[in-house]
Amino acid sequence: MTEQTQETAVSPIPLSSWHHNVVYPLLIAIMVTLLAIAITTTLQSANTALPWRGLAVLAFFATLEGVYSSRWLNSLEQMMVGHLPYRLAELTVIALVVRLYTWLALGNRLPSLSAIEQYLRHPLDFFGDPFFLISLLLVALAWQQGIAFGNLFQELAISHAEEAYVRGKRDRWHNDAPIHTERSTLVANFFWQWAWGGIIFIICVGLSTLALDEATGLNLLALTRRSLQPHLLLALLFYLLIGLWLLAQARFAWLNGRWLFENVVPTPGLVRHWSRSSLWTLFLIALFAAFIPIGSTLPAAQLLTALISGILYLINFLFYLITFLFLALASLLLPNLAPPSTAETPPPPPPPLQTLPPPAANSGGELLAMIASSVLWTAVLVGTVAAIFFVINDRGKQLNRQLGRRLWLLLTIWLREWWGGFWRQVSNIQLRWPTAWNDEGKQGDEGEKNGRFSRFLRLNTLPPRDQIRYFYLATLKRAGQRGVVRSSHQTPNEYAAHLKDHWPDAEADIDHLTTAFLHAQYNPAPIEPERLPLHKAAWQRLKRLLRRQTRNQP
Amino acid sequence: MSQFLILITLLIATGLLLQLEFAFYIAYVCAGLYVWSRWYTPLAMRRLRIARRFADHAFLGEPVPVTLSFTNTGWLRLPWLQYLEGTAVELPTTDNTKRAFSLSRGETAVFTYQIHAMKRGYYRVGPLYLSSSDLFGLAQEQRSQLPPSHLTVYPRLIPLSQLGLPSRLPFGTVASQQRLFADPARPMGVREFRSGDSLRQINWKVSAHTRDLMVKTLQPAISLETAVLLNLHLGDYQRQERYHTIEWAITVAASLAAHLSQERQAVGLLSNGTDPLRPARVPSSERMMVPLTPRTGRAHLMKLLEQLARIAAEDTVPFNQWGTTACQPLNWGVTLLVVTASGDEATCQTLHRLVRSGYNPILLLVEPSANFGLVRQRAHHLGFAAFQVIEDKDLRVIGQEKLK
Repeated sequence: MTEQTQETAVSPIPLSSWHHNVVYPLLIAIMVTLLAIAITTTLQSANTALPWRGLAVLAFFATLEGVYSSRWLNSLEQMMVGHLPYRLAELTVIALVVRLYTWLALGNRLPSLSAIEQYLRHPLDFFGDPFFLISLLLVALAWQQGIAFGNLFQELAISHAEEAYVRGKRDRWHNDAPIHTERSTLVANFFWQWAWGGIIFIICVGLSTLALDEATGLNLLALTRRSLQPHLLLALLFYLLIGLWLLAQARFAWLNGRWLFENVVPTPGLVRHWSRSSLWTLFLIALFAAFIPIGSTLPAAQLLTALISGILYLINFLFYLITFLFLALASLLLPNLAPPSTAETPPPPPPPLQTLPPPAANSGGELLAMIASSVLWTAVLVGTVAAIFFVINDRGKQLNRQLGRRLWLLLTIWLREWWGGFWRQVSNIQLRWPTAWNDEGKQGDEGEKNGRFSRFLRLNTLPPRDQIRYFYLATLKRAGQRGVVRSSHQTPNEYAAHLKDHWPDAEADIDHLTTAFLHAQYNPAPIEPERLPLHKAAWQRLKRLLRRQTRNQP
Repeated sequence: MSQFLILITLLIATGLLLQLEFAFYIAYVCAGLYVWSRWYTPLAMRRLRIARRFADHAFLGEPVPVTLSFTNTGWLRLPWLQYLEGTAVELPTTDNTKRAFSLSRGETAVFTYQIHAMKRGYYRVGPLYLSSSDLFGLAQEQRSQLPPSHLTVYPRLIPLSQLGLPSRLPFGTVASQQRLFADPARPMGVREFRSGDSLRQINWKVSAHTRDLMVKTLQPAISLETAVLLNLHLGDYQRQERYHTIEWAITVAASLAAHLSQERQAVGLLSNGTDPLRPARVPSSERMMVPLTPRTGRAHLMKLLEQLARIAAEDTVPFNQWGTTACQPLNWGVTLLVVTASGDEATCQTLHRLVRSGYNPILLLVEPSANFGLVRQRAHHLGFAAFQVIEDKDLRVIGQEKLK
């Protein structure tokens, strides 16, 4: 039975927007994610302690981001957007997300303030985390693959310039000709990227089946083979099928471009049939291949294995032979090349012991390190915020001013709070130091650390108001350590009365310091700097009194 | 695609070296795809049936629909097929002659495009170039072609009045001075019976009246044939307007032939132009058209017009050498309508020789000449008539408008 079809003339049709906007990005993302799954599974089998598998989700979204950002950047409206800065901003945002993921995946929470303090002091701890670095590398690779495949399919598709040039035959000028796209090369590029990905996939799957016997340690000869994980096999199969289907689509895009320039009109049904036919062909061949005996059981494969082993043995033998001949020749030409016996030469004298001078107080170095880390973190923070804004703004998500102002307000409040908390923590450290110094002696690591903190807080550099606050709070802290803790409901005057009950000798100093604190805390009038030594003297007298009492206590 | 073979080799090597069984499965899928693509595409092309249908003769200005049909007689879908129908540049087409489509099992796809016969001639329609391959680009593109067909576009036919010729040219029937043939339709008188007269010639009524045998005398007459002698030797035409003048000469010849055929007179065609159907490798003098001897009927007219549609001017044999010899197959007394470029001395002498040979030539000049009066006078002296049939520019415009 034959079917008669009469098709009318149509202009060259590009692929539907559904294919470009949804199907291709999704399939590319799935394909790259499957490869990422293979790599993460291998890493997981090598190091079970770290949560590698969760990276596949990040890889999926990074690939999608790469594909869509490529489409967006290649659009005509975004001609003025710099690709390199945009990609750097994207990478910064991805790095931030990966960093958050690694924190959440490892500790199930964000880092504590002490950890942040550690990162602030030692930025390398933040950036040099191996889990973070490997995760970032994997996700960045997925992102890069997304960009590469996105660009590739973008170039394969018929551009507006090409379509306009071909359609406007009468009005076109030679100079208007679009840059020729070598679509066959693009298809070959896609093929090889996919093929090498497949090889890496297979190797990763192969490596994941190997297990190291822990009893023998790191002995490669003691490798054992585990069974293949079914989900990996499924992933590999899907990677293969998706890649081949995309190859068919790339081939169609190539032909579509050729047809456009040769003024060949493709019928509308061709696109639909192409996708469907390629899918069915792949499915049927994959099904058929499942019934073929495995290759290594075939006599031909066994013969091939023997042949490869023979060739390897021959290469090995030739290598040894050449090495032997070379050495023999060298020994003939250079007979006195033998090394002198070590017995004849006396052993070298031991190096003189040098007593190193005691380490000088490196307050300057600490300061420099602090400045350097501050500068670095400032740069990182500014860069990250700028990157986020760059990525969001350039995507067309323009923030309105009101929202911006609100966000800025929230940010400044949060920064102020964070800064206040930071300084409170620093003050606590500063306050803890003398006690630690006295309790544990002036030696040891703790002492050094506290000394570092004391140097870290420069009392004289603080403003007078803060200095008075410091005198009062330090006294409060010390009194608390002596057992006279200030309750939360007590006002400074009530607490002063409480203190005077315990230390009646220091009544005047307590009153002086309390009055000074109340003035500094609640009175907006400026503090007279000339009165500061009086407050300091009162604080020091109180401090000595409290310390003396500590020593007298049993 | 050798890249795919490299991939299969790599997969097998990986499978063997790492002892991974599943790598073989992947290699099988890739190899299966490769073999399928290489095997199926040529097979599908072989099972494709193509046909081109159109009316291979058309009058000037007529649209000619050409139908291309593709039938997939294979048992699987043909992934994609691209065709490119090559037509002569003189034949503009309205629809696209290049398409790409797919054919499912047993499906027939029909595409139609229209050719506009804008110019007299014998044109090729086709060849139809086909190319196809697999979906993945693993097999080389298979190319084949359907041989070209031909379309004959008849020359333009113009009424005699528009050609500027007198309405009653002495075509065909002329009074004969030799009393060889007596026309019974033209009685002239009676005479006394002489021995040898046919009894059928006796006018019985007059014989009874005169009481003596009287026979009818008839006006001597002869019904002669007509042949168009078309001179298409390139050298005889002026270089400047050669293209248009030659086409005009052919139009005049065709119009005269059509007119005579309409008058139910026998008409023939002799020309020193070439026929593209004759073998192309022989010299141009041997590729001249086969003379068509005078005959009557519409079928003969169509044959003549087809010949005029195909005919082309070339440097064959000059009219002076060809004219006298060309008329040898014709009967005595045939009227010769000689369509040529100019009436120079040599042409007039040739026609005079034809007069002396017993023919009745009439000179029709298609190139404009300032000295046509002299030519006419010379022709009159030499015993034949001469007319100038110059292409009317208005007529050309009218004709082109009609074509559009």
